[in-house]
Amino acid sequence: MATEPLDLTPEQRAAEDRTFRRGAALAVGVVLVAGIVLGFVVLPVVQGASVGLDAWSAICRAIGVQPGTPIARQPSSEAAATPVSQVSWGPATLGALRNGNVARGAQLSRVCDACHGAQGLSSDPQFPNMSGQTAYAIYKQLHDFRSGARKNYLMSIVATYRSDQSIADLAVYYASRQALQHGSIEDPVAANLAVRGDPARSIAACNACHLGNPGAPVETPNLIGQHKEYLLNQLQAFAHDTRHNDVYARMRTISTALTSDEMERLAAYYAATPRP
Amino acid sequence: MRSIDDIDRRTAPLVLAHLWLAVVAFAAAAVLGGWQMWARSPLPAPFSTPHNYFLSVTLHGTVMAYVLPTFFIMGFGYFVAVTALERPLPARWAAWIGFGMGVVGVVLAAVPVLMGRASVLYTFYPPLSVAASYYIGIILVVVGSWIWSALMILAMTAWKRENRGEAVPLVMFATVANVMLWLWTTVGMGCELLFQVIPGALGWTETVDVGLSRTLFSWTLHAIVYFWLLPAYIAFYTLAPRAAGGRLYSDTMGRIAFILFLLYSLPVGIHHLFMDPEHGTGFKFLQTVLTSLVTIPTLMTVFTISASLEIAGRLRGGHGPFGWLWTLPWDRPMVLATGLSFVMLWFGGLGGIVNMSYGMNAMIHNTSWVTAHFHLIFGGTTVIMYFAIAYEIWPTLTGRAVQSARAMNMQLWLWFIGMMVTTLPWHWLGLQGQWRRVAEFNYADPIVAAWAPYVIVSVIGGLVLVVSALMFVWNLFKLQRGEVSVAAPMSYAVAVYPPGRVPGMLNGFTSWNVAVLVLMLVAYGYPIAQFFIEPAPQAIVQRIR
Amino acid sequence: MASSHQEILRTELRWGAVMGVLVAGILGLIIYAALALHISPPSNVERIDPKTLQLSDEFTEQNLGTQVSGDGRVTARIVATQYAFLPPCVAVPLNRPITLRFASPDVIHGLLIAGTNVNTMVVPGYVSQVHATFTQPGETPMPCHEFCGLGHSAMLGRVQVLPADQFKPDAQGRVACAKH
Repeated sequence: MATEPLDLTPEQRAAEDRTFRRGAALAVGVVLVAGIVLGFVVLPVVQGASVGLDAWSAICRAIGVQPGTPIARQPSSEAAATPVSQVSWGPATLGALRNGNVARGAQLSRVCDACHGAQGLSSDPQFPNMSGQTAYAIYKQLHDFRSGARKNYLMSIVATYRSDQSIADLAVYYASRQALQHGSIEDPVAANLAVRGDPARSIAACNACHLGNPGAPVETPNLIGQHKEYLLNQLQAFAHDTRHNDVYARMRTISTALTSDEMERLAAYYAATPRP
Repeated sequence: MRSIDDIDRRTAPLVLAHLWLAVVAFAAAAVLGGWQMWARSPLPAPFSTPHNYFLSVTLHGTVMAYVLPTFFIMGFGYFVAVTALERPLPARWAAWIGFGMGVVGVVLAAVPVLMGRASVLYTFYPPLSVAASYYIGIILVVVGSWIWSALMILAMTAWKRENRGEAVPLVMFATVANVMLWLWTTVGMGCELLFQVIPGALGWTETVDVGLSRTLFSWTLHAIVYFWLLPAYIAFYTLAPRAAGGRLYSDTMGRIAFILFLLYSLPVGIHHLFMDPEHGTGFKFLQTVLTSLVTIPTLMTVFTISASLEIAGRLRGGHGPFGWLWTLPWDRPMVLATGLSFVMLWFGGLGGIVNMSYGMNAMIHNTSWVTAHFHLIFGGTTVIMYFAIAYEIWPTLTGRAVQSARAMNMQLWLWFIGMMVTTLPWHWLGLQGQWRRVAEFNYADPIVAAWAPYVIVSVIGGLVLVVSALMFVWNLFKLQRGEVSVAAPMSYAVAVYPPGRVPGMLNGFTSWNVAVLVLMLVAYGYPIAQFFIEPAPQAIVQRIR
Repeated sequence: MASSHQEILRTELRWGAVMGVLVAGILGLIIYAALALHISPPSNVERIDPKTLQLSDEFTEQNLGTQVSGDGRVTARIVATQYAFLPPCVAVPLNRPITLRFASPDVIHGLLIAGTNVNTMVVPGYVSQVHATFTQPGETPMPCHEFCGLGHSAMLGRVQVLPADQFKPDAQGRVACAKH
């Protein structure tokens, strides 16, 4: 049924391909030019004109070389920074922690032994256990004590004259040690908050951040094996805004949503939970 | 026409290995999908925690996006290369290496997911960062598929050398069009994984440029869906008309449609980033225009295939403008699947036009509307054709006869009904603002409570889908254990006017790849270059501790 | 049935032309909406360092929330973080244009406000900006719609649309949500 000859001459073939190629190039070209003219010129210039934006700025915004959109003026802000913590996690800080000196941290930690225990595990439950805490969490808190972002009658003094390097060394030393192992308790209320949270009150599962998952801010502390009293004190301090060095109020927001009974239960739950 | 075993006795096991892996993984992932809908519904579901939910979504998405389509398409491609070109597969040993890499990749990816250490869905979301073996596993699957790609191109060029001047059979031409599309597609995700995500996961880098990673992923995100979809179109053009007892209306239009898919499914990925802050409106508009063009090959296919089926219907005695519809052999799975697939394509396609709209996208971005859209287009339109393809080629592959098509047709109907019952409520919920990717909703909230009836209907649809998915595996299993018959030769639809020869441009891809390059340079050149011209501030990689 | 190969191609091309017109019509509507109604996606290629976001001037904690500036323009600045918006409740005026500015210090977030055109991704490294006018008074959810970690499902903010008599800026021009 084939009506066309099978063998064209090479010249005929080339001519046929050329026609095809021209047609295709034309079709693709027309579409591209129309899209470019409309998207980068007509739309932004007309939109910009209506809000008093000059044509050049409108085109630059459409391309993305100037901030803002062609349909509105950019707002301005006169605010000055009043951060709740001076710590930011850049490659420099992360590098300092990665290169922290555990041996030097061990020496520096002698000062801490009185309250936090010779093994980094304290006997007085109002002082937190340090061993097994993440280096990032320790670094952040020591830095905040030093800068005044977090206040404590003892720690504010102890941290004052520590250098960044000393803080990093202490952090990696305690992070390198074993956390305390406890038994476990059955508490469905606490377990539910820890594992599922409560979307009805915008409370995320505590474990979403505190169990080492991706999806947690860098400074998120490990809670497992911490003293119940210490955990409860901190939750209450966040709820009453007497502690507010949590960046963007992450813990202040959650703790105000918790009842005092839930805080008790959660503190007990994490104090007793075995490490996975 | 010769049977597959006459041409190349050792191809069938290769094809079956690919297809069985795809099928079994699919059925498991379908069950997970059903559970996910249950967990999000007002009905109390077992094991429902965020940890389990996102683990399940990751597994479901990874299997449905990377395992099912990739292995199915590879297996079907080897089958086509041997049966359509009627020559043995070149370098079959390499194909087995590709398969082996894929299997290793699947295991490497699945293990951390099952341990709950890779819950980043299947779209990665850096700076979230999980076990590196998850990403490396996916890369291995892709590299395995590149081997397949090379073998497909090799098979076609070898055939062309032996049959100078002749038109490559449409089914092989379309398969290689999909190979070209896939090679272009994988570049974006490959670069994101190799240069950003994996170094971050291994701890070699502390920060990642999130805007760049989103842009690279968008490069892949739309085209990959067309890679999944093209086997369905291959079946429309080359299997359905024959199964219906007719002829393909136009072979030339088929070629042009596949070329248009290659051209216009790639430079459009930024329509996934309409709501993103890192690109100017100009590029978003340009890609809206290009996206609108990708509807053309689909609409042409609907016309050509309807005309082909009309030929079949009239040959079987159908009269009048629509009388031919009733005389079509709807008891044949391939014909039934094509009809059902078209219905879902209309619904899904119309929804897609809202998604691609530069302005309207804001109404539905990241709502259940989008989930409904891609389940209807991929899970519905495409996967129902995977079923039909499997039913069509299984007798040829295994040398067993189909005893009865009833169970197959029942399975196809269930899939269609389940998909419609699942996705139509989702579309509605999306318009109501139901947002995506959450493990549970708070049905005590009056706004959310109003959604409950729709959600429950969709769960019932999900249950039907699970039943259908399991039935599919059972049907194939029974077919494979069925009565031995003479291995049936495979044949593909013949056109009304079969092409003896076609213009060179419709017989190869060299010039079209140049056109793709131009389109990609215009559409993605500056959007990617901007991250290097003036590097954006990067975000800290959040690893598992 | 078509009588020749050429005739078949002609029918296809005719159909193609009809479809071309259809596609052009859809594009026409999109262009019309962009030109006449100013509907375009929230593109705002404005960079900001997520690592030091909380040390920045504009997105420092004290400066978050809704503010009416001297010239009467209303701007709300909101941080999307794991797993909450700050402020958790955003006060917006009824029937008055407002600019919403979002930034993330950690990972990718996103948000939508059902029944409005407010929908944007919040990508670390950028300020996302949406311009809107709220026309329905009352309270509505503002959920995070992009996977941001295992706590994503609980990341749910609120928007309070306040009529003019309740939208009262304080001395600094700030407006907060009414307490229940």
